[in-house]
Amino acid sequence: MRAFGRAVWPLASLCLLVVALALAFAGGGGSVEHSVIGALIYLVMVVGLYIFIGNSGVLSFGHIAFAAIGAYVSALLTIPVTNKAIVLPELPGWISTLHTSTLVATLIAAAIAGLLALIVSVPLMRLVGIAAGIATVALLVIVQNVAQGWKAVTGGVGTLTGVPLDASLGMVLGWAIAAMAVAYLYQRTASGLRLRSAREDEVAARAIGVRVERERRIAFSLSAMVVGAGGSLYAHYVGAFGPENFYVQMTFLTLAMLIVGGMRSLAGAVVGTLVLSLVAEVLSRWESSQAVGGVTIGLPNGSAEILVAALLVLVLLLRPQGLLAGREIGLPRRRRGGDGATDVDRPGAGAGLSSVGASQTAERP
Amino acid sequence: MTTVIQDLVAGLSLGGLYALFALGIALIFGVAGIMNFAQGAMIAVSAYVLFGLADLPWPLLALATVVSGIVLAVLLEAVVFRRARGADQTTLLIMSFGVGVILQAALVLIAGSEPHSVTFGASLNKELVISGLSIPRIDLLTLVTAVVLMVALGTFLRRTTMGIQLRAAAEDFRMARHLGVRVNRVMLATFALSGLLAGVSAVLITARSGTLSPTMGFEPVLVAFVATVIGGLGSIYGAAAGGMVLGLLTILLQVVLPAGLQPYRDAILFSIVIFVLLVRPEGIIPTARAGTRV
Repeated sequence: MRAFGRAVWPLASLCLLVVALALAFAGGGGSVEHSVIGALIYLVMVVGLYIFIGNSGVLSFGHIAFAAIGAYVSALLTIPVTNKAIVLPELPGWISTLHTSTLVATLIAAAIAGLLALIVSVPLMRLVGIAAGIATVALLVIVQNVAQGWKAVTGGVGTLTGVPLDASLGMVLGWAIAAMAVAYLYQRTASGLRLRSAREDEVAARAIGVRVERERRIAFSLSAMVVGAGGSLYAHYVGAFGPENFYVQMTFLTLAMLIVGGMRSLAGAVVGTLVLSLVAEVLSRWESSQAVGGVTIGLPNGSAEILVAALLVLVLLLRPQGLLAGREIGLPRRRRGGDGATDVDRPGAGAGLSSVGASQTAERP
Repeated sequence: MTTVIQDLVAGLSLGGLYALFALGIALIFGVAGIMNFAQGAMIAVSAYVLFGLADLPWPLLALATVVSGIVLAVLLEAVVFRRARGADQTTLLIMSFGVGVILQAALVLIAGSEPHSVTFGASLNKELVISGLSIPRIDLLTLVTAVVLMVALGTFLRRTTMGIQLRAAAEDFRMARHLGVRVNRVMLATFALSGLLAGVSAVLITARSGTLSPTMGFEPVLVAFVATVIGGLGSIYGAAAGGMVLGLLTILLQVVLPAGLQPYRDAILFSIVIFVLLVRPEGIIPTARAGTRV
């Protein structure tokens, strides 16, 4: 029983935390509830990012491309057929008559994002160390470019309107819990553990037979699915969006959330998202000095963004492993010391990216 | 034939510009292990200095822009990155991302997020006609600047003490320290060089497009990152080659793609990049230490 509790607690505690916070803040309804829904959608995306970045230790700048794919797929499936003829008159016939519920659309969006990720992961995951992360920006550019150019299907650089605004608190909360559960279950599977071993010491992991590229491909695709679902939810949250919504700013914000909390644990991803959502929300309200009903989470220009970025840099300088430093939330200590108090991942163990490219700098004083 | 030569010049010129971007990234990555996302913001800040001082005569203006790039780069090293020395590469990359966002948001606060237009370099956009060939002057200027800077950089790296120390530090940082290379000085020199490249890039970009915006540095960084990866991460010459290849490919695609596919030029370009990486994961010119090492 105790072993079961120890296995489930890190996930259960996070779910309780998220649900409690969401309900407490959203209780008042109105613009606060709207912001909470936005934060939860970011949580889905950040948890998705975590599945790949956190477990593999390889950075990715390209995942927001999957959010974009998820958003467009979901929009195409849920914009009412009559509206679709007006917004996207040149849409190929079979898509223009297609219509599904938001839930089905989000699942399909996740599946398509995952499938595409599986394909592009074949070349991307062959790259060594930090090069893989950098090459993923190519992905961001490709998807951005196609979304802007493929006017018949995406509406081009303009805004695609008419997506049903049906991202309710309950639904988004459900997706957030599902995302956390997927991430937690994955990191406890044999495949997840093999990938984490490669994160700590790639050479040693290879030596005991871990097929690093294969494990990375799996994590990459799974994480793209979750991010794709997040993108779909985002579409139903804003109702109207364009390619620009899924570019540098969202990439920065989601990565900042993951890194501030600590990219090496699920708890870090969750806590980072909550902290930065709160900071961004307070700052942007302060900045506009009125209750903002619009897309507050997107961070308006100027001071709020500076402060979020400054916070990120400060956290990296003072606590390079993030606020939680790679720990999960364990059960409280009882009787024997060390009984399930913390996760196995301790910060000092591998000091981040221990793949080959890092060896050059890792030794510096 | 003439159009082929014109396209070739355009390609070489764009490739030269991309090579300058990539060198700025590769120098800092080689020595400090920082994949410096803030390089784009450095370019943007320099361009805004050019915008702010637009009343100066152009040689002074260009000089001031380049100097501002150098000063900013040196400040970033002394104030931020020095404190993070020895952090792992992922941390440094994210940190430079954060620094870049801070600089960019500061530009938005000071000058607003809307693009501005500048008249600087307007005369350069006229075409030079030599025996039937018409070539934009800015392309020639870009090409000449890139070649001169690369030759100068190559000479500096091979012939001067500081250059040799810099290469030694890029090769094996710890060994270089043990042999008496003074870390902080080499770091400052590296950042200064990178800032110089950012400043020159800012002048060239602004003269080419006539506009500037706080986010103008993002595309160059993107190109530079991809160029350093396909050139072979950690290799300075590889980065320059990677930039050149990207520039030539861009113009080639522009020429050969049918009109219907033109909007997807960048998507096709970057798909080719991914394909190249599939065939050569270590890049075109892999460094000696690119392979797995225990």
